[in-house]
Amino acid sequence: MSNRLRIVGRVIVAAFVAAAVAVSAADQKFYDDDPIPREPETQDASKTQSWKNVLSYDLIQNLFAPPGDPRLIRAQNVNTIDEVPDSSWFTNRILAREVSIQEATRGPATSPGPAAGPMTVTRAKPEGISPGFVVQDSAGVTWFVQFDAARYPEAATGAAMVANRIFHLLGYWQPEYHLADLQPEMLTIGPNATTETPSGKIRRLDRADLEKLLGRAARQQDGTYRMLASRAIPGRVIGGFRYYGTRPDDPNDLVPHEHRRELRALKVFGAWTNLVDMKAGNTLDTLIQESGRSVVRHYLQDVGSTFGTGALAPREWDEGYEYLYEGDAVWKRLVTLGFYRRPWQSVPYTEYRSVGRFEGDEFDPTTWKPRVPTAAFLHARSDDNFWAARRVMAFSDELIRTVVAAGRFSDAAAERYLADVLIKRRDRIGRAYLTAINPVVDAALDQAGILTFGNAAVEAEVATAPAGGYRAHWYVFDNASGESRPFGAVTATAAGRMTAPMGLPNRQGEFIRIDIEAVDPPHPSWTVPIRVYFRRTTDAWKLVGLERSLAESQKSE
Amino acid sequence: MTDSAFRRMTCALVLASAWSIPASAQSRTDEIAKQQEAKAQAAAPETPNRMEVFLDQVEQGKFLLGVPRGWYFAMGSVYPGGGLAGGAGYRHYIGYDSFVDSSALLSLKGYKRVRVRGFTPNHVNGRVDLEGSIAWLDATQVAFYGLGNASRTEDRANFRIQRSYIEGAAVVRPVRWLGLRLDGGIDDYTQKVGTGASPSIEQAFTPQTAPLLGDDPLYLRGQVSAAAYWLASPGYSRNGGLYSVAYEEFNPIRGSGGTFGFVRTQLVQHVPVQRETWVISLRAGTESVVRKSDVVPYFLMPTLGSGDTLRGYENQRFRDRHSLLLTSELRWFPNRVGLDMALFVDMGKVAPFRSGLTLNDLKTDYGIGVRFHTPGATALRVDVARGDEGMRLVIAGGPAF
Repeated sequence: MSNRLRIVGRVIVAAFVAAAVAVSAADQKFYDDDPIPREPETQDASKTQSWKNVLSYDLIQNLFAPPGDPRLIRAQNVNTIDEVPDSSWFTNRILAREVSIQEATRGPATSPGPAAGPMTVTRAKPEGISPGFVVQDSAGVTWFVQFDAARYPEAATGAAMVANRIFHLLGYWQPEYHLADLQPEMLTIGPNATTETPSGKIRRLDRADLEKLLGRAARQQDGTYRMLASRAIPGRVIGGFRYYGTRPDDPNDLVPHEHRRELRALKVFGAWTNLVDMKAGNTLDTLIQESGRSVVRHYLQDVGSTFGTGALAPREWDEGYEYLYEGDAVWKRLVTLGFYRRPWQSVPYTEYRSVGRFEGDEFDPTTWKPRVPTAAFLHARSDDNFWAARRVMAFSDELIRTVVAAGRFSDAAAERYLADVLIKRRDRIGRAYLTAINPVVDAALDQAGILTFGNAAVEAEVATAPAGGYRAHWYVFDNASGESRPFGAVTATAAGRMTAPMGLPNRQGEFIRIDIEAVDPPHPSWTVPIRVYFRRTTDAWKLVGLERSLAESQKSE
Repeated sequence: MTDSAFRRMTCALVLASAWSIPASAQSRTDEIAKQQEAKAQAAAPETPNRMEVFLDQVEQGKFLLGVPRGWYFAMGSVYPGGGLAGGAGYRHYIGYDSFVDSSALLSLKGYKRVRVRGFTPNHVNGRVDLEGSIAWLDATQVAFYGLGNASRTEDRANFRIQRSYIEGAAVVRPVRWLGLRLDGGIDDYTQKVGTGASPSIEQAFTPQTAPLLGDDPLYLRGQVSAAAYWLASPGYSRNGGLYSVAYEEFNPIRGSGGTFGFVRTQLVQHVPVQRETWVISLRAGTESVVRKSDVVPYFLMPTLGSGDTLRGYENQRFRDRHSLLLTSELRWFPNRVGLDMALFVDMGKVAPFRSGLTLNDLKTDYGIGVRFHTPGATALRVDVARGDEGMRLVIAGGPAF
């Protein structure tokens, strides 16, 4: 064989070895940077284009042909410890860290609100059920302003304000909302201000147009109008996002939205706050500059349809209980002359004009529904609901009363009632979802081999400690092959603390796996173990993996 | 194999291996970055499908839905009993929400109407609407069974009436729950030989049995009405009520007979039961010639039958100087946002004297209906009703009351 052939032969061998290494590396379960705290966005998205959400198409598709991946699989954007990394969709706030009262009050606000003085109207928004203006304040900042319906003062603006604070704390991108009083005489009309007539014609705005719009709004006793001012969102608006699929022109948008945990979790957050109007039209994507490149930021823009009120009046009786169309219920009601009964027909309400129909005594988070089936909700599993419920339960009574106070309700009884209902609904969410699966959380392993963990259901006081205690099965885990080899005996404890058995590895870079189950006859699902993985670092064990296995019946919840 | 061939094959193998085995990621971030890089190569803007394009156009008012502007396809009714009418219209907007609308309609029974209408709403802080029309219509085969509650179906004759009119109206809403309407105009009527399967009216009736038969009067007409209402929408409501009274007077400029007038009353009340699981809807209405001496042409007399009156009877089945109508519906809602059902009972009568409007000898029908609606309007109402003259199907766009 010539030298050339030998060289070529070595190249072949080298290529296959490299390929083998590549395959091996691709198969490893954990990388050095696991768990990632932030979802990387490495590509420039400046070529994304605005798209138009067609409301009726969105409605019809979601009602009659649920879109998205038919598989009910684990959320795809969680990191290896089953948490949602920060991203252009979500920022970990409550539960991930301490949240101060000041932060809760401030919400996403970065300014004190519209500057005092004259405001210039640059555009009117007469269409829609909730009319408003676009104004520029005396500092040149653009604000979108909306008002309460004449018969329901403080209702729509108060709900939007409170929900804005809640969803900000929960981690969603929210516009900056402020409540302010508008003096109509301080409004001037900009030279290029336009409005759309009922015929669809765009023409110059005049004073009469403004008066017509204000004529539909609630006026306060001092002649001012209470307005909800929403600061223009930074970046170029490029439409909204759907609750399924990905944005085809955003290279960083890899995970189908129905498989994003923070979107699935809106099923629980929506139930808590009664956010029934979940549609693409209430979301907004903007193109912003970050780390020197353009990326798409996803806003949950309109969370105003919350609690017991809509934009103009209290909620319809069945909202939160039924989709706009449910074939089965339609036929049953049709043939029974309406005698087919549903819970919404008898739920008692204490109605305040500024709160509407919102209650916490009969509320069942597992049966709550938005107006239209939402693809991400239909894919939510017990582990997604558990993740969301922990965040809801992290709202203390004090924190809830703080965010409700942001609504500046003049009726103290109404404000107290809204907070009371949110507290009751929070607790019902805890009871429903924290107890549904093995609630072991916060696993840690110290240098001495002491394993500690918590029980989210017990800590939230929605369950008692498991009668049979906890059991742990210990394994040495081979990160390259994915194989686990048991070591030591099964350990057990009545509380969340136990010592590793003999044989715990201690070389840097080694992995162990621990399967932890809780034994409690009233909660058979708790015996399905959670798997936690630790990697040995120089002087500690680092949690690198957490998997919540579900019983088959829970995978589609 | 030569060195050269072996080398080429080897190169091909290496390239193939490199292509088929993905480059390895050394970190999670790297792994995701590679996927994002791959997507960037194929990134393309969102493209709406055909259904989205179509629905977008519908939302923008094209086709049959939405606010008409420019040329549009018009649908509606020309005259009671004429059947569904279709045609074309053109609407031109002036200012914010005022418009001039021209339309021409032709109904299933050949009734015709051409109309130019101007409408300018929301004056005086939204309290005053003004409108005016000039129109011509031709109803070719309107039913006439004779006067009275005891008229017989076999006596049916048809008359043809052409009406040219110019009218104006002002609606004033001093408060949110009260509407006052003032309207008036000039009506020019021409009677012609009725068409259709039934004999023409002049073959079966005389001016004694059909007052002012053969007359072509020209009237100066005026009406004043007041309505107290707390309905969610006049086109669709599940609660609230409407109480109205109207007085209308006709003064002949041409033709026989003298001045005559009508008083019309209507009481509508919707009573929701158990959070609108059901709604009991009740209506009582009367229409009455004001003075005993009034001579009213037969074609302007109060009528009952079909439409939104006695739904189990032919259109305009009963006709006389006075009428009484009592309607009740038990409505239920298979679907809150679009589908209602109703069981209904209609009762009514006509009489030559006001004292005849008693609860004796009421004509009665009952039936079931289905209604497709939006939050503020009834798009389609289909009622099947049975009276003592058989079963009838009513298809209408708009609420029964």
